[in-house]
Amino acid sequence: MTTPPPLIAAAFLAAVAIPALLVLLAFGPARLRAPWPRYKASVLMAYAGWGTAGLTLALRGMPAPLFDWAAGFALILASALASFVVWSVLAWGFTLNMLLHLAQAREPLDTMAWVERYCGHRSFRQIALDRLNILFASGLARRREESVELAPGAGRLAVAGLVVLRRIFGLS
Amino acid sequence: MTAEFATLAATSLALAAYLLLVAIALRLSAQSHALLLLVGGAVLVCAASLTLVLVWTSWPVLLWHFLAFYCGGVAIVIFLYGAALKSLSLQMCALLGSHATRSVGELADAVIRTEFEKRIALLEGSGLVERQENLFAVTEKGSTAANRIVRTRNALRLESKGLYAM
Repeated sequence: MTTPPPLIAAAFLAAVAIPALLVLLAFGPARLRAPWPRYKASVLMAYAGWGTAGLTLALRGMPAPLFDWAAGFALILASALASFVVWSVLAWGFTLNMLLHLAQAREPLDTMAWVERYCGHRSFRQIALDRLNILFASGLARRREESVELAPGAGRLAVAGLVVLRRIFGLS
Repeated sequence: MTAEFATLAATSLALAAYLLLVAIALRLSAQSHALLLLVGGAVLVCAASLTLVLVWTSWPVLLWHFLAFYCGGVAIVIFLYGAALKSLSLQMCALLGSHATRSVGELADAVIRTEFEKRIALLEGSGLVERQENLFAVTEKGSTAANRIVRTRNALRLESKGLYAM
């Protein structure tokens, strides 16, 4: 088996660094406690480190071809997405957080009391708004006072993509 | 055929085979053991593709590039599967696609309430939560699982209440 080109070897190290950075960035004076900023910082630092390694190699007379850069980018992306799947379940997983809030109550709860422990209100509206904010921030939907509508371009495209994905994966 | 073109062609074929295998396996298993199927399928297709390409063809495939692109493609598929299956935001997005406008309350009822009830059934089904008339409580198994999650979060110094805004 051949050894990987230097830029792909560097990408492999950067890919491994993402989960390590997710842990390490919780400590020290510049610690990031909120899950999203910490994830973003980990991925950006991994890509920045890899980019620096690539530039250093080029300055030392070992410039990498574009194909190596593309492969390295894909490898780090794989690690970033895999880390996000695990990280998002731990931080924002709906079922997981439902279980945690019920466990922390230390007494049996009815559905609405359970919802209140989850979001601070005895209604599902607050959770809906929290999840809708992702759609608003990404430009997929718009809010006009109490009503919500799909954004004509990106929103329609996302729905079409979702329909295709559900058909491919056999989801009802 | 250049090595770059051969690598991209081999990766594209391998990813197409992976998607086909996953689509069939998820249907046959009715979405159970999805993670095992997604990861196991990826390893199986990768091994089969490399065997086919390296042993039975004369394609000048660049091994490390193939693996990097293939890993990227598989990660995208797994990420998209998770989003299509569980994302509450995307479920609301889909609902908005079938109706021009919805109120926040309607979306909360149609998606969040329904999903909350589905997840309760899931927790009950896995023995983590038990129903006592109209009240719910964690079982011993649920308490053990919750403690394990809290310990993991504490080790990672992860602060979250399950809402994106908090």
